[in-house]
Amino acid sequence: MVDFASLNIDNVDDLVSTLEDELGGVSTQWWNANKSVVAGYLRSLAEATMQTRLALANHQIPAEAADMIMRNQQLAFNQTLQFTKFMTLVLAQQLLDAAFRVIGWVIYNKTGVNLAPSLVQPTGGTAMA
Amino acid sequence: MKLVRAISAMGAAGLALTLGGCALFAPPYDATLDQKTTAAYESVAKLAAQAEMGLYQDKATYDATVNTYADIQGALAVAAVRAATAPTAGKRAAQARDMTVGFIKGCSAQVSGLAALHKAYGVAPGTGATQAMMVGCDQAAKAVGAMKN
Repeated sequence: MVDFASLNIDNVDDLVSTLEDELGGVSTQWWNANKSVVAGYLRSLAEATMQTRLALANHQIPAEAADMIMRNQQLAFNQTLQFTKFMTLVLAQQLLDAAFRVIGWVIYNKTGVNLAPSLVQPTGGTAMA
Repeated sequence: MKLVRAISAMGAAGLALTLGGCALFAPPYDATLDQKTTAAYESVAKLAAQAEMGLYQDKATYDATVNTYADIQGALAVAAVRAATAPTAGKRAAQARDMTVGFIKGCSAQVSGLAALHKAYGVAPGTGATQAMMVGCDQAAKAVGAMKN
């Protein structure tokens, strides 16, 4: 459990690690299933956050600009969460296609009947009847 | 005999729909949509690179950049309309299609977000201002290309 009152992070790696711990703490199952999709985006968020923090501390940008930037980051991370759901659906479709590509070819090669034309696309070969 | 053949052909066609066109979880790959979205993403990446090189640090540069923002938004709007018409064969595929549209619109919202920042304060390089837009648009491009074999 993070002690937020004494949270004092000065580099991207530490922020990534803390974010990973927090997300894993909310749901280990979700984190394990999605970390391969989320990891790169989490690092991008951490890098941008450190840049914004530094720019704000150095008065390079006003607080209002930092607020706009972080709101955009929040929208982007919300979209990243949606993206993990989307990739789960894509994986299901790819598994379905992979199975029926095999089945389609098995039937086509023995009968010449193409029951899965979007998955089975012979290139001029003659089917074995 | 002709009737038997016709019924047989209809049966095969029905099966073909069952085995071949079953976008049950995600819409099929659309090369035109992929090309349009990728082109828009490339424009977004160029905009981000220019911002990170300091080209838009002064908010007075906003007026001269409006056309760039408008071109990107137009391209994303076209892509969103095309993505929304993708064929699906079930509730979950429709959900995936709607999510794809959402990612393209999310990219568009991020471009608007950067434009608002640019107009109000300018875009200072190295301040984390462009990453969210790149993430949103990267996901849009990945989503439309996800079903490419």
